[in-house]
Amino acid sequence: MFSSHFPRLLRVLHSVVFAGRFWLLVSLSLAGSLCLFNGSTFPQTKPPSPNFDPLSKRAAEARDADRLEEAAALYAKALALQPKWVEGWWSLGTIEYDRDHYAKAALDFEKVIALDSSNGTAHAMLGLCQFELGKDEPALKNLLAAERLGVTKDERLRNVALYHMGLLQLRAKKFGDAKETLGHLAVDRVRTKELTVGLGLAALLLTPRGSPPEGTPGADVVERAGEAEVLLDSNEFDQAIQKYAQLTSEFPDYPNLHFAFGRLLLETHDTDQAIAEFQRELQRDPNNVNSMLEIAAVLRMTDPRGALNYAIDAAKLAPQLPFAHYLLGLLRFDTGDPAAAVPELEIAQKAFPQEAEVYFSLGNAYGRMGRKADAAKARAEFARLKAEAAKQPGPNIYGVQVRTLGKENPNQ
Amino acid sequence: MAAQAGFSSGLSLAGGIPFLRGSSTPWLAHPQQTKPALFEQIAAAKSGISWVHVNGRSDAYYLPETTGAGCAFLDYDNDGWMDIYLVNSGKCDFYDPQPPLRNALYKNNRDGTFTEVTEQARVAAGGYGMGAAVGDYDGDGLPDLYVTQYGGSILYHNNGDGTFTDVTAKAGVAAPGWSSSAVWFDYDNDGKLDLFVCRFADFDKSKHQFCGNERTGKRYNCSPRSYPSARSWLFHNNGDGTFKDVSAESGIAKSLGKAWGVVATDINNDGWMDLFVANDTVQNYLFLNKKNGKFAEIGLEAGVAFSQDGRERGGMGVDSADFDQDGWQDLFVANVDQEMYSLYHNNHDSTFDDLAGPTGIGRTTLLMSGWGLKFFDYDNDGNLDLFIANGHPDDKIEEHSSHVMYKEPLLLFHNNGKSLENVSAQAGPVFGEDFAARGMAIGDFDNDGAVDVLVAVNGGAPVLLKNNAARGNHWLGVRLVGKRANPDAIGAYITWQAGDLKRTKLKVGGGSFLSAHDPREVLGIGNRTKIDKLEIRWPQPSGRVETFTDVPLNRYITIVEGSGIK
Repeated sequence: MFSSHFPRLLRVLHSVVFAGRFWLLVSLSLAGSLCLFNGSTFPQTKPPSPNFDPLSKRAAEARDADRLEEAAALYAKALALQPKWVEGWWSLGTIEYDRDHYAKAALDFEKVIALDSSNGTAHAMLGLCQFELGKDEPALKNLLAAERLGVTKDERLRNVALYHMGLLQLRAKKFGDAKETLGHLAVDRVRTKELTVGLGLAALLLTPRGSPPEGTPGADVVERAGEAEVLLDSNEFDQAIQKYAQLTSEFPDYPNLHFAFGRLLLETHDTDQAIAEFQRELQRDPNNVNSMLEIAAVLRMTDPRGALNYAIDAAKLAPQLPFAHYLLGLLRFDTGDPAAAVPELEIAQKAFPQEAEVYFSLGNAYGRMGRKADAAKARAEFARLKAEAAKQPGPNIYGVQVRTLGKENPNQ
Repeated sequence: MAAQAGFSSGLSLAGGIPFLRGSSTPWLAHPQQTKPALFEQIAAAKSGISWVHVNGRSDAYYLPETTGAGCAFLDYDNDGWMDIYLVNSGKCDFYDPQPPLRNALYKNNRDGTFTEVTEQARVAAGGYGMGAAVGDYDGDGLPDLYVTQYGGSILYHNNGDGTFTDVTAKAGVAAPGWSSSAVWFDYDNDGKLDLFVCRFADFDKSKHQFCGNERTGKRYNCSPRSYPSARSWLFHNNGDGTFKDVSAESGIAKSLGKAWGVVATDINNDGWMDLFVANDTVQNYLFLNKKNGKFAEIGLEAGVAFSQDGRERGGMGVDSADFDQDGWQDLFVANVDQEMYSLYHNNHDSTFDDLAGPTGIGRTTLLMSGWGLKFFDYDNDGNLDLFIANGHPDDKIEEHSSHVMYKEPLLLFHNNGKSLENVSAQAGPVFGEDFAARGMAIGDFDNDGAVDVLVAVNGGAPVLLKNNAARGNHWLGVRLVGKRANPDAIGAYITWQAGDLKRTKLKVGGGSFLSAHDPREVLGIGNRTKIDKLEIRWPQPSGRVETFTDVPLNRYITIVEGSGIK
């Protein structure tokens, strides 16, 4: 069994500080033993050296007495004797993290992962270190791995990991992903201004760097939009709609506000009003590709021909946006023009080579054109990717939606 | 596409999301409506059907608890009046109800009431029941009863004296595991009814999982995604009261699924019955009959396996009919909420287009979960309408999902020849109520030519609906008895002409969810007063085509293959 020493991050979480650089400062007290790991998580190996046991014991004593520098040195010595000692790497990593030595801590958590690649909690800690080091891309990758593999059942660590993941997605302009990630926290009743602002930014397609300065009307819009999103995630639909309605009447020209309202209305299944809001966004900005795509996606269900022109315009305005081509391809097919669908879907396939759905649509289009070999090939790839995806754990209860292709134009 | 430019070009966006909320149904908003209800619920006190389904809901949330059960219309005593069979839960590895539960057989008293005869008939079953399939597998002129169960199914042979005998062991059709829907049909055209049995997930008590919020420990119903797929069963009728399991050699067993609904139909008009199987969280399967004892699974190529975006859905109820009378069988499948149901129009080349969007069915069903369903001509105008029974599988869904209700309203779509119009709001007060509906069977229990509906409710009393919608329209009810062809004439084509109206209908096998239907076909002709020609094309190995020009109206007849009208 692992000791009860965990980094500050895990020990105390009672405040989330939003200090302009989206850093989460956490402190929390560890009362009692918090079992994040057990022997089955980290395989124990017998130390080969007679010096190892006394060293490791002294290291643990120093750590428990908060003599972190001494503890770090002792752990390093013990690990030199037993480099496959997973618990040692973990303890050393947490000590270095506590001492704000993020680069060193990252190396230690990498060792843990090298010895136990399925350890989601180590991925989470590594991601948090990398976040501190400004290595956004690997940080996001590790936090996503942590979410996939499963972090310790401690809700607080999961929340911290999710929040940072959301911030990284915002920085990467993955607004839909950020909204979903931060939305998990809102659903779980986390309520902080920082989370609200994060959700507002995601809804309005703003990066943290592009967020309006504190005290400006723009900052007010972001926060209130975030409040509406929190209400939505709390199933307070009427209040969420009311808040957006008020906001759009006060700030009718604020970029992407009607778009955000439209998306919220889609969540509440009011498609007609949603389309009306997307249209208002288009009145404000006739080149708003995201609104065009939303309208096209909604109309596809009932009026593919009506949807087609929106998709055509979106693909023209944002030729670099694969989702626009994907949707246009789907609509070309739906409206009986598989030949025109194929090139659009092929663009999407190049951009989303791991997305089974794109091959599904391509298979349909090839098939309809009589290109049997191409259809069979696309369908085989679809089946292969589906089989791969089936190996991943999915939601095991009803009412949890499967992720869809990211579709926003990040530069709108 | 051509299909969309045809039938669906005049389709209106009937219905819509607001109607789906049971508490604010348009029916309740229009109390001044004076037209008689299209369907009228017959109270238990009036019908005599006092039996109630018990789902045995436990704190452990075993998946079978929320999925049953089915029901059947059958004429077990061959008196020309439809009796009713109802399936209940029962003893199994996770449930031991005290006192024991039983299925129920209700005899039709021919006056709108029923009398329970379960004990006399010896069809109480007692296991954890799922559904029923009815067919005369031995050709003795009496409908036999196959009851699917979680934990092994039962074949009841009809003795012809009001009793049945459990012949499961001798017949070899126990189908261990969790069986759901089943269908009798003749897959090899040898004139004998074979049996296809859907198997749901590979589940038993030892495999039960925790599904819900691990942090709070709160349980919900598991999505079927939690359990592995399993193979369904195909049993070949040996003609001597026994069956051979041909699941492997026919190719059926290769396609692992989580099968709920099945319909036997002929999608390519080749005279060999195919199978369409709805799977939950697995792609649907379309088994094309290769005419050599084997099936090829072509769901993906045919466009019926996945959603239009290539996603598996929660397929449950299915049916097949040529709803637009272009001569080709179309398909319907009901899914779980957020997925829309699908109306697959046959493109005449073994591919299908989903018309759920342009017909408005998609939008109407976006937040609903559908189980029992059937195409039938409820108003006898000659066009096939559609009835769907709904209800979400998870009784806690309202706690963790927005805009989705556990109990949901029934849906009725009227086919006016150009569109499928959602007429639920005008169909009667019962359409303003919400149910945890599961199985659904059609049958004319009062022999008035208007096809009635029976809906099985999970953890509740069945809902018997009397059809008032066909008044004033003329009809002919036809019972087909095959001789060289299979006894139930599954796969027969019935064509009738009345003046300008010409219709053809394939007698499909099964359809709906866990349920079996009145075997008689009611041929509607609207306000026309004469059927000029009635043609029966019997399935192989007969292939005989019989034409009748002098047929009665507004009554039931029996046509025996080669022997004319009885």
